[in-house]
Amino acid sequence: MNGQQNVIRIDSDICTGCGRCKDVCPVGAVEGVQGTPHSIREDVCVLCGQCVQQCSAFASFYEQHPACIAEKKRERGLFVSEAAPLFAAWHTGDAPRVASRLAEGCHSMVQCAPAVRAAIGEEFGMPAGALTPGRLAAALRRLGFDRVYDTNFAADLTIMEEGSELLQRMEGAGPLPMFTSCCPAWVRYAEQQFPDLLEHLSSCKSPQQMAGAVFKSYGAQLDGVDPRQVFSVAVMPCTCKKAEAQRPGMEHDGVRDVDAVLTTGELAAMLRQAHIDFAALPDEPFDRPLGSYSGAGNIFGLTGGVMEAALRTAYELVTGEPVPCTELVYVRGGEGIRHATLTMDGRTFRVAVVAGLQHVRPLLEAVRAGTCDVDFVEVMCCPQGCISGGGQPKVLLPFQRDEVYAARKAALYRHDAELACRKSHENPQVQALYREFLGEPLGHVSHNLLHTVYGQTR
Amino acid sequence: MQSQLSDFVVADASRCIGCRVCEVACAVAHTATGKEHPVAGNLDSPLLPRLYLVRTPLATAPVQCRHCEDAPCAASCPAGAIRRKDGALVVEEARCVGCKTCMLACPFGAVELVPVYAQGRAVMQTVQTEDGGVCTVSPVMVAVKCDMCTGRQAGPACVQACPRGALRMAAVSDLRRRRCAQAAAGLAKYVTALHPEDGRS
Amino acid sequence: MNAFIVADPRRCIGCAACEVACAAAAAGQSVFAPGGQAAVFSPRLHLVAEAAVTAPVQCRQCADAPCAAICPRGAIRMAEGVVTVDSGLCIGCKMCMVACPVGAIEVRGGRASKCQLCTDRPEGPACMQVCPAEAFTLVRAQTLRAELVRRRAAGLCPAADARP
Repeated sequence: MNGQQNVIRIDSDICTGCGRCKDVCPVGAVEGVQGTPHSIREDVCVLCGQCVQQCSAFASFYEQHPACIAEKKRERGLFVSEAAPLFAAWHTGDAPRVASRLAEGCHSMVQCAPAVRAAIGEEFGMPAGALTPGRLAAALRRLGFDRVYDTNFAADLTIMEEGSELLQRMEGAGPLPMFTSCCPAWVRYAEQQFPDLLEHLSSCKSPQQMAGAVFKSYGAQLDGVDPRQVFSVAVMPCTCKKAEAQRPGMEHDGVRDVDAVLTTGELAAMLRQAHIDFAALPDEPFDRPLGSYSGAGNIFGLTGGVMEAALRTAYELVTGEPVPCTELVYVRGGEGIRHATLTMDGRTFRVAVVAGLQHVRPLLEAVRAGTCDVDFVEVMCCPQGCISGGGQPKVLLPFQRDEVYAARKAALYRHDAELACRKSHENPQVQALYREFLGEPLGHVSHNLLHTVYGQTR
Repeated sequence: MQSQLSDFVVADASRCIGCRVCEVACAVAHTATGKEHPVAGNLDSPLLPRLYLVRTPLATAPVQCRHCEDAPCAASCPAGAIRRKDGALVVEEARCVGCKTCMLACPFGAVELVPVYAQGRAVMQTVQTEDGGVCTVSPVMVAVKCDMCTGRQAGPACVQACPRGALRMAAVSDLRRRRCAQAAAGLAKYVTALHPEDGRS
Repeated sequence: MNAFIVADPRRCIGCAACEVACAAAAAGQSVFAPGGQAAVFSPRLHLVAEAAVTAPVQCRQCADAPCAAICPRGAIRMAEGVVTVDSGLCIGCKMCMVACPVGAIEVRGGRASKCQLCTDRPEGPACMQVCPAEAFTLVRAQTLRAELVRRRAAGLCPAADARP
């Protein structure tokens, strides 16, 4: 334990001990007797924030003291003016700190995860599944970010690196199955529970971290600034990403890739605080070159999306032919484990997709036992992937949650289908980055900036 | 002709886990967000439910209005603000003057006094002091209570939202008839020799 | 032990004369006299008439009456061996209806009403008086006790005739 307090906590003043958090925790980290305040075991918790999404015990207007509430808001890192009630399960907040830093003046670069553009509209009265990339970019500019880049660009980059790594392992250069490493809650779980299997994780950083690393190297170069002057911010549907950004190894040449992580909900709070009318904003593009993305990068935000993006590229790398149909419906689906087999250039390629961390254990035990006959596995902690993440807009009525998740997924697929460029390797800005800066996937520069070692102190 | 008894929502304490989803759903159903799938960020005013989770060592359950047939709240209201609407007993907030008599009259504690919110702000009223001098500004407060979600298509929000099915509509007349039928069947099946002179059972 | 009235489903013919008589007795006026139809028709017993069973159901005068326990106003109390509703206190909240396991209590005209054994009626219970099939029994402590003793003896030694 490095003394860092947990990102996810339960307020015992508000908790009624109903136990619904226990029901959704994928790793059994919540402890407590029914009817008495519950607590989180920090050595088991993976910071996914599903408990925060689920928690319905709130500080009642009829019982609370206003002074106490203001104090709690400060403790939680919330703006005191935020009107939403305080629920018992909460995550640490960074929005006031980011707002201050922007106000002080700095050279800032921001990225947003794919899942953010399929959900942030909900915070401003738009229907579930409203797709708002254009307004999102406009909003970030109004907040004062100098460069409005995008995580989806880095998702394309991840496919290039991870796809190459996978093919090398298929040739015998590393152990199979290879597991994705973009979900930090999954990585945390693997480090806690299956440290003997860490060599199976891809050495790639997550798209968030790759983006941050590129901002503070290539991005800084483009803008003619010292990398140490860059304030690198990420907006994520995820609470665990806040801890991911602080990990040892998530840095390069002595600078942190990402300085601050905001959840989708926190970004919305910043916009409200700044009186920016999100729904009335015009559509604007993301900045080039690090804000241009393909449809493949965009679908990282849902279960099966990383796999589909990877296969769209891997198929062409292996066979030399484009994949016959861009929509790889056989890797799409919902919570649980899905398996698929495809043939590429005469070789059988077996993949698995896990959505919901509580489902991954049997697969890992099979790997330990040497009986797992899968080549590549995508693991996402949250039930439908990132669109259902712990940092997303919190759906107030539990019986509506499934509909909202389905609508958010549909929005990301819709966005993919409407984009001209749908494959990571065809993203011209990614191609340019390799040409001008990185060299080739898994090369020396990539290795320094875009890869890490998992299993170091959390 | 028998008049219809008002239905009301009743909680089963053996199922209630104290999660407050019912309070959230109730408050959201009575807030002018107008959103079909509300999220926490849509709330611009506090959650003000009309049912209240009660936690005691013996039992935990929400409590709300029973829509009494001879309601003391309605009888005691000096402004005539509590009236029957579609069978339910409803406070017409426009008529309510916030005198709190109904709060005192209700033996269940089902009525609360809350500020009125518009566009995220409490609506304020000014009150002059006796000497016509300094005005104090305070929020307008009105009585609120369960209104059976009259006008809501899916019916009472709390019943719909409860994740353990602890809340249900107590359709009391139907309930009574069913129990009478069961009692009669019980007599027929199990009670022997009520009249000893009938001989064998 | 409180006395209570119970009906035998094997004798009951489902004529509902008991309901009419009870309502009339409770209303305090004859439903057959001119203006009688203005009276609130509120029988305190309820005829169940189904294919499988026909019998009226009425209050069992429980020793630990749930209706009395749940009433928020204390309007239901034991008075001289009868579980009694004080109409003046009753607010018609229907909680007693939810509490009663046999469905014997009902709210009509804004007040709870239930069988109170016609204690102020000189002829005694109206239902018993009028029933053409003699289906009702007023179960008193001593009659019940006698029956229990008889059953115990019969169980012990079927041929013997027990002395109470």
